[in-house]
Amino acid sequence: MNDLDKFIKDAVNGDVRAFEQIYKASASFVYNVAWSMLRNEHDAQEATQEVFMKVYKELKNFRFASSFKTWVYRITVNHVLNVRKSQSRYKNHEVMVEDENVIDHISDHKEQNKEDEQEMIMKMLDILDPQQKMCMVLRHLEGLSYQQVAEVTRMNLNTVRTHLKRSRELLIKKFPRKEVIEHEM
Amino acid sequence: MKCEDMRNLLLTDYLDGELDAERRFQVEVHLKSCYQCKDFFAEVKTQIKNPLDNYEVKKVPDSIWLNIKERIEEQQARAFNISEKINSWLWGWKPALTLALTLIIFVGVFFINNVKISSKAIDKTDTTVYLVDNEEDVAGFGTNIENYFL
Repeated sequence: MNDLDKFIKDAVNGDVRAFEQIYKASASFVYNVAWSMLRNEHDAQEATQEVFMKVYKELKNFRFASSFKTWVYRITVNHVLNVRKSQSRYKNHEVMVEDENVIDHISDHKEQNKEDEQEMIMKMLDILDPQQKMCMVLRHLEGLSYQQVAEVTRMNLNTVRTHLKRSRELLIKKFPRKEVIEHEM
Repeated sequence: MKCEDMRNLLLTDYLDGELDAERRFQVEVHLKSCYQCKDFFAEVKTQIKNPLDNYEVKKVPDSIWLNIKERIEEQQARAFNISEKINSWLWGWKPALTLALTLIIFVGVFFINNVKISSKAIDKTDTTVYLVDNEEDVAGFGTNIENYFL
């Protein structure tokens, strides 16, 4: 039995310290996916808490045959997409993007701090629909392979590929290279 | 391979390192000879891949775990309180419960015995009535037609 299996069994029996180890192993993924998708500190924190409360509640039903990491990631993706859906019912979630300026800012590293640059990258992804954005976040920010993205999102492998392709086409179209614009002008 | 097919690979599997060695080699050969595709791939890298790959993930605030821990402990305390209440109630009322149970058993046994005795008495009465009825029947030979022939 590896450490994680032991932590899971201890956590099922009510050991909070064991659950803390489980939390530490996947908190960064859960929080960053929530933050990237919800784009709000408060919502991301709340979503992270809810995901881990679900994990804690469902831990006794976890079958060791599947990967624990994939199981937690799946709960995260489901929860975050549901929150997005419920948010879009009450407010128009489209974030205003200052179009071409976004990429110019990202490329111009010297004139801005790291935080602004990070924010610009997120704004760039905000133009994508939730499914496309989820695939991009899982692939680029979390470094998951196509197969892993497909398992976590329960999408077909080709659907993942199509989402990534369309996202990138859209981003290239929306944010063309600065030099190209200058050349065209 | 056409440039259009090549661009599909450049936007997906080739960019993400998902191609096997043979197909990767095919793409690289094409890129060496096609400047348009080469330029397109350079744009995809600088505009999308590099900024996103360099994105630094955020540090998870400590407050999240503290809140989760608090919620779990609250749940555990609630579950413990319920079981403790049941236990303390049962143990606190143990003598009274024992007495009540003894009384219930005693009254129950007494009641069942009484019911058995009275049902036996009813059985006997029924039999008597039945025999009397039979005696009346015996006086005749059945229906009127039967009586006529006999």
